[in-house]
Amino acid sequence: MALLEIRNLHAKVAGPAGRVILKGVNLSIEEGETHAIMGKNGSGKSTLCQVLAGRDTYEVTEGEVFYQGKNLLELDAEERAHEGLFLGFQYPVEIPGVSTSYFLKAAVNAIRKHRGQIELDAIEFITLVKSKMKMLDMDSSFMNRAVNEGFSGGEKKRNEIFQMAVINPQLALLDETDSGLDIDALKVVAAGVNAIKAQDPNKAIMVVTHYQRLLNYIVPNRVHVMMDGQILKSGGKELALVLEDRGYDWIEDENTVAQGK
Amino acid sequence: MSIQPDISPSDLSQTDTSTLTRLPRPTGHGTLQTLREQAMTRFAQTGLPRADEEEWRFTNTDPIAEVGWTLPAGEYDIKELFEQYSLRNTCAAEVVFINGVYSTEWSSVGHLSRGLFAGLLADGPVAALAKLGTAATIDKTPFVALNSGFLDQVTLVHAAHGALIDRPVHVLHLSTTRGVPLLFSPRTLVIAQDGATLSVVETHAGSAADALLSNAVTEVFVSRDAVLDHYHCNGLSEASWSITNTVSTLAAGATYTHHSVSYGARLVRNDLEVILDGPHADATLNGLVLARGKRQIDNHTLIRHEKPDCTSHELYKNVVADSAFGVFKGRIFVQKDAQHTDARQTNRTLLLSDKASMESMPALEIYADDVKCSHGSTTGPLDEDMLFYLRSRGLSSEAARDLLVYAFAADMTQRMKVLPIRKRLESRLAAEQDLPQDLSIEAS
Repeated sequence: MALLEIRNLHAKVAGPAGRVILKGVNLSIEEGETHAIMGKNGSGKSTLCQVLAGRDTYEVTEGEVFYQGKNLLELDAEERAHEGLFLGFQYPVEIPGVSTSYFLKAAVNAIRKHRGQIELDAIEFITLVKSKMKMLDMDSSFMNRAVNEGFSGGEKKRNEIFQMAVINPQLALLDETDSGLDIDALKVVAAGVNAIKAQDPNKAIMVVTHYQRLLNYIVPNRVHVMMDGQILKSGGKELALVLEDRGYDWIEDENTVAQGK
Repeated sequence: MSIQPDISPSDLSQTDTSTLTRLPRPTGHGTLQTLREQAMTRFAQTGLPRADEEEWRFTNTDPIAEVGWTLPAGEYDIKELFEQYSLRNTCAAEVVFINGVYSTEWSSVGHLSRGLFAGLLADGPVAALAKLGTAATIDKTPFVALNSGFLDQVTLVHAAHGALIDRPVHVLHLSTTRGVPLLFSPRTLVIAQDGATLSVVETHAGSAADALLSNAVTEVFVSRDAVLDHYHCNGLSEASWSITNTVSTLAAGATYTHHSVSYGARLVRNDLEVILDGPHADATLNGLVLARGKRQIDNHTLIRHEKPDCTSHELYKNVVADSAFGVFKGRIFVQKDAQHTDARQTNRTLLLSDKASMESMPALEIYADDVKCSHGSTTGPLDEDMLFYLRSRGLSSEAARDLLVYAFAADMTQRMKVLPIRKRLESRLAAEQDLPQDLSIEAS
């Protein structure tokens, strides 16, 4: 079985009047693969990420998701993290009052504890963190700053990838990690992602993006187009170039024609 | 001391306050005696605040009158408490009161180097006496009048013209069980003369198991271009009532920061008034409330912009848990001539249980036409986005909650420059949330 297997996933905003957002998503990601999800705003890309990461403001109404053969939907958000799933947030949250250092150490050790590994002490943690900071070209003062507080959009995104490097997940969902980055920052972030992946060829990545340019640096095996809560078209990396050139409307038209048959 | 005659209430509808007015008061001649007499006459007229008064809608002080109060006297063993709260090794001076009585033994005071005096008003610069009662006038609240009726051992912290005092002065009020209900009337006068720089920490702490009423008044004068960092930490035991009135006056170009922290006492009522009385004065009011159990913690602040080109920034954060009740009323008054005022007020409350509640009332009165004033108030449970962010990184729901409560409060302690106070509060916050002690963000 694939590393991640999504079958006919339907989800809505929780609550009686919650809007239906995912309307039957099917997607299979094998170990070692990189998949890109593209699509217009409001097509359900971010919701898919959040549902996969266990956000309980969404309610799954139909379908199944298997991760490493386990029923992912039965796990709480933190259990999914323990099992090696990571979400890089589109809008990373600011947490004034908590240092990045404490936050990240708590995260690493919560995951280690779950896996029956010995928790890292302060020195081991610093050693781990320092090499990753270098990789993402981060200032040393950063660990002592409050989580994301007062960070620019680009710094927040870089922080997400830094956390990914430290946590070292099996499957990373990167939700618009490229938005808000200038080209230099984009290269640093992409190089970071590639370096993390290179450590273990079995790692898989699902990137959500609006722009083809990211895919020049993080090269996908598959590109999927999401529209109105479904994946309507999938292809190789060249599909991203077509989308860049022609936009999304032709897929909608094509699909309408297909349905009409 | 002699017992003064009872003054009968002028208004029959008011609560009988004879438990307070019948207590023996200090006697003597001169300024203090005049103030005491005027104050008690005033208190006899007003009695305790009534629940139908706007400023006392949520805080009923009537039960205070039902207690058979006594005044402090005698010796107490406070070594352990002293060691817990003293800043002796890091402060410039420490003025210590034990159960309301000045302690020569535990204080380290006097005329200190570089223009600092800290100690009793009677031993300090003579001119200071004239300031007493001029900011916290007896008509402010009945509790100012009551405090002034018992004026005796007044603490004075005085920084002379241009003095740069780099260590804080600590005014420490400790209380312990004595077996009977005690009334204290702590009184503090802080003067930073022109261009002086000073930090003052007031701590009210104790372990008393009996009823205690600490009715404190602090008057602060920040003269031209002076800089004052003022801390007020209120951690009295749950058997206590704590009433504080602070009135701070800022001259032109003065910079004043007030940090208020309240976590103790069954009932806390803090009235803080800051008067921007010269152009280009700047006031920052940082408040932190940790209300647990059945506590009620009520902060009333009033910022008066009297002159043009002044700025004020107010941020009060409340953590209200269990069945506790929080009150915040933040008034900002901008006088007609106070053009170019920039006043910002924010009140944020975290409600940690269904039984916890909060009343938040901003009140802006603006009579100038060229001003920037804003206020914002939020009350609610922990932020879902923050919780999800932490959980998505592997923290359990409980660990995420604990960390976020800590973070909400530590955002205020991190603004404190007096590190021993900051560290003590952060240790307390961490312990309350069952977190380790090493999560503090280092001071920059």
